[in-house]
Amino acid sequence: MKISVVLSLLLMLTACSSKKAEESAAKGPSTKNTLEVQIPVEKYVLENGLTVLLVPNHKLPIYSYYTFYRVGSKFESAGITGASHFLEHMMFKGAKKFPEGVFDHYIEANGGNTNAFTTNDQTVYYQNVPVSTLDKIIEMEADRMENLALNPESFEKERKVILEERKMRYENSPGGQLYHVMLEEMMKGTPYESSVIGSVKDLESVSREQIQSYFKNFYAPNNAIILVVGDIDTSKTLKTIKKHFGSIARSKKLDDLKAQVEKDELFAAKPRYGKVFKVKGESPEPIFALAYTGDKIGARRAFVMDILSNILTEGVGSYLNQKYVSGDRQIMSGIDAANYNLENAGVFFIKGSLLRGKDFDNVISDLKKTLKKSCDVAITDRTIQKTKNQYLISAYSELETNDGMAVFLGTRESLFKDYLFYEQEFATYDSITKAELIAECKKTFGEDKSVVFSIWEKN
Amino acid sequence: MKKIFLALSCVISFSSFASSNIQTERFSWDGMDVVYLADERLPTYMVQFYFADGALADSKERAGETEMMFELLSRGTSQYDQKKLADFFEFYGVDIASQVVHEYATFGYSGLVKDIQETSKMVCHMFTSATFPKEEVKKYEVLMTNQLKNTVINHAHLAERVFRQVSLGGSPYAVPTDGTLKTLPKIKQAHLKEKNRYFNQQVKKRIYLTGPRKMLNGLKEIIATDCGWKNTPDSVSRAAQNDTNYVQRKAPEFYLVPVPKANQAQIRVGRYISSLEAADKNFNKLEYLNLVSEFLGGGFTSKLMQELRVKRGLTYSAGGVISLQKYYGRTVVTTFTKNETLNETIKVIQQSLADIANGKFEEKDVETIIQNMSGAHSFKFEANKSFMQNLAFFDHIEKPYNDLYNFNATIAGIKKKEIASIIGQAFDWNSQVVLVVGDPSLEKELSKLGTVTVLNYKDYL
Repeated sequence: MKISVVLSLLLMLTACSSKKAEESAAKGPSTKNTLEVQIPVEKYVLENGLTVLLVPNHKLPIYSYYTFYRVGSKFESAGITGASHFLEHMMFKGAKKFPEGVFDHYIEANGGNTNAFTTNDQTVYYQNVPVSTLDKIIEMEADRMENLALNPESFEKERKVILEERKMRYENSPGGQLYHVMLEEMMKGTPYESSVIGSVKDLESVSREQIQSYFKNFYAPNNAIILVVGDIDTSKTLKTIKKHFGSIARSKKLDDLKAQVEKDELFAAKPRYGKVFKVKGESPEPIFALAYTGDKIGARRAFVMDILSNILTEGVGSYLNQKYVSGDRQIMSGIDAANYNLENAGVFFIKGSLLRGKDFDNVISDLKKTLKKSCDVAITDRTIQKTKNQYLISAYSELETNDGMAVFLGTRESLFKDYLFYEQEFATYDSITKAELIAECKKTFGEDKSVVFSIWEKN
Repeated sequence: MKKIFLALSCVISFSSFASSNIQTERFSWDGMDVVYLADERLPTYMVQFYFADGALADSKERAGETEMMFELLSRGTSQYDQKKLADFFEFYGVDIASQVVHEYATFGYSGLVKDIQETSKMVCHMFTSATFPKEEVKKYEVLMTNQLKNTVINHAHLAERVFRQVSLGGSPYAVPTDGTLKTLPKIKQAHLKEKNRYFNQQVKKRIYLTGPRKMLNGLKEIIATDCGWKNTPDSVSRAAQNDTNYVQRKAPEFYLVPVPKANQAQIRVGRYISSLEAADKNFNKLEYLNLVSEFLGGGFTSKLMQELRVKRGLTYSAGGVISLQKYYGRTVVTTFTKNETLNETIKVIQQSLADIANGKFEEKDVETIIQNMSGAHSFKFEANKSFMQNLAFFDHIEKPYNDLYNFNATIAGIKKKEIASIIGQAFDWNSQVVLVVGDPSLEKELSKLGTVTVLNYKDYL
């Protein structure tokens, strides 16, 4: 899970209430979790299916504009892997009304910044800009949704840029390489098997027409969510959004295409448990991942494994950190557990890097034994409460800026079709007991249905 | 008490800043300047201590000592071992972080306001009672050594490390703040205790606070009693360094740092700006340097990104900066490209710099960058942490806060010829170091541009 998790969140923004959050914050660590979130969100769905979330915050004359497209690499068929990410690049290369360069120049000329990111499930575009730009930004975003240019010359230049980006992120990064190999195996046979950036072969051969067709099918109002957070007049903003987006047609094929991909049976991965993948890479010391099958986002086990991952490796005082990095037995230079939950499947993995001279096979064997033992000793009332406290701070931190608020709400709206899903998340975290955590821990590490991956120059 | 209202004289943003009540207040606590930014929105706080000395306090033989001292504060005290200290801070969700640069150091912590008193007492306890246990010093050394030896897998990081040492060569700022493989083993428990005593008792301090006003309750007393801190006329501030021995170049120098099987070349171009030169009229206005840096290699529309990525597809990213600290400065262009286009990329960088220096850009480009920087100014105030860091830096370089608030008015005055002049001086090709981290085979290609000195990366770890 861990979109951004909070067990007890009391948020009062200046715009929504005069009550001070601190008034109900009890002295000392909290054990009773109270959920009282008041974010002044206005949600609308236009006739063409476009979802709009508006959140006023008048602290400064700025705002964040986010567009979540519910399309990611899982929708890419053979031959067009990397299409969503390719389009992430091409969306900045001009449309019908605003040709190449205009979009970037306008945003940067006004002191804003813009970028995007692509995942297996979604693609997110954003701008952080002064409020004077709002009407124009809405118009430009509508233009690129409706009439993306995909200029052939720019297309070829970006192909080269993406191949360089691929080298930077994966081929030249042992960590990236490990992640790539791990996800490929743990998601074998599912739509999550291919990497977000795509294969070199596909990137070199994919045609403009293929990308254009993919764009037409998935980049439509009925597959998008717009968030505007900041110094805005919500009624005026909605009116402008309706004016520019209201006439953009739905994608007619969208539902069928999604239905073809989003079938539970397609996401039943069959990783080869017990196998050890030793990949030759540029790392002077072994970097490893010990991976287990996780759950899709929103599943109860996904929440349980979130808390477990925090207890195991979050902070210097966490169980595995003390065992292998900061305690008396210094074996690794770092260790981290991650519960990576995607919309349709997940992977839980522990990643670490060995110190010089440590025997890889012995360390992995020791780690597996330690994980089994951890269920009875690491999961305590204090470590559970510690996790809750950390989640609380993390959420407050996220909600400080317009940008953070947009991601917080947009992610939930995109994945759960409900920006208020955080309430359910907090309630679920709160309902998870120590006994449940111990039981899940024992099941996961006791069965040892894991796969080991390592990158090392001596592999 | 002196109240400073943000943007009072900032024409564009005045109403918004003022109506939003973004304001800082200054107090004096036992001779220490305290800057407080009130924020009642969330029940969280941030405290940052500024120390007026940094890595320059380390001897050459024990470079990295100050950074190690701050890092190991939480690794053991007279009462608690590292595990108990970690458990304490992590239980409250407190984030602690230190930063050491050559001229100064900071130590900060943040968490929920309800926990600030307990947390502050524990932080003071660390400063006054840290023991730097020998086994923790050893562990740190092992981790750092491992990390340094593994730098070779991160070519961008390796390029930064070697480039600093080469381009700032001869100056006191060339030595990495985190030390080297040679210096780290020489740092012992006694050195760290002495360093802590120095920072605790002798170095001048300032305090930056942000959060609900409730956070101030009792904090002054805790810092006075538990930390025992005060500033006196004898408190130490790092003074200007003698940097006359820095390497002055009359022609560009090309360096290759070979790393095996690299399919991309990391490129760095830049030089040292001495304390004497930093006072030059081209460099004495921080606002102009910020603007010129943005113009050269800031965002997607910057000159370098346009020339390298947009027009030619040579790279994924490119940046350029002219940065000045209190007593020195440096220039850096950062990019990477595939092996086959190394020389083309360097030539494009050289030509782009020359074009700007020769005024080959439009007046409208100047208007655009001014508009850009003016619009971006508001974002400096959005996240309290970055705002406080801005204020701390202004205090460090002894620049009045009004300059921050007057930023937009100041940059509005920059002319095309001033941008050209700044780039011309900062990036004069004959004084640049051009450093490439990449495959050994690149030496032949690079030598077409000039004499290449091959460096062994291990000498810079």
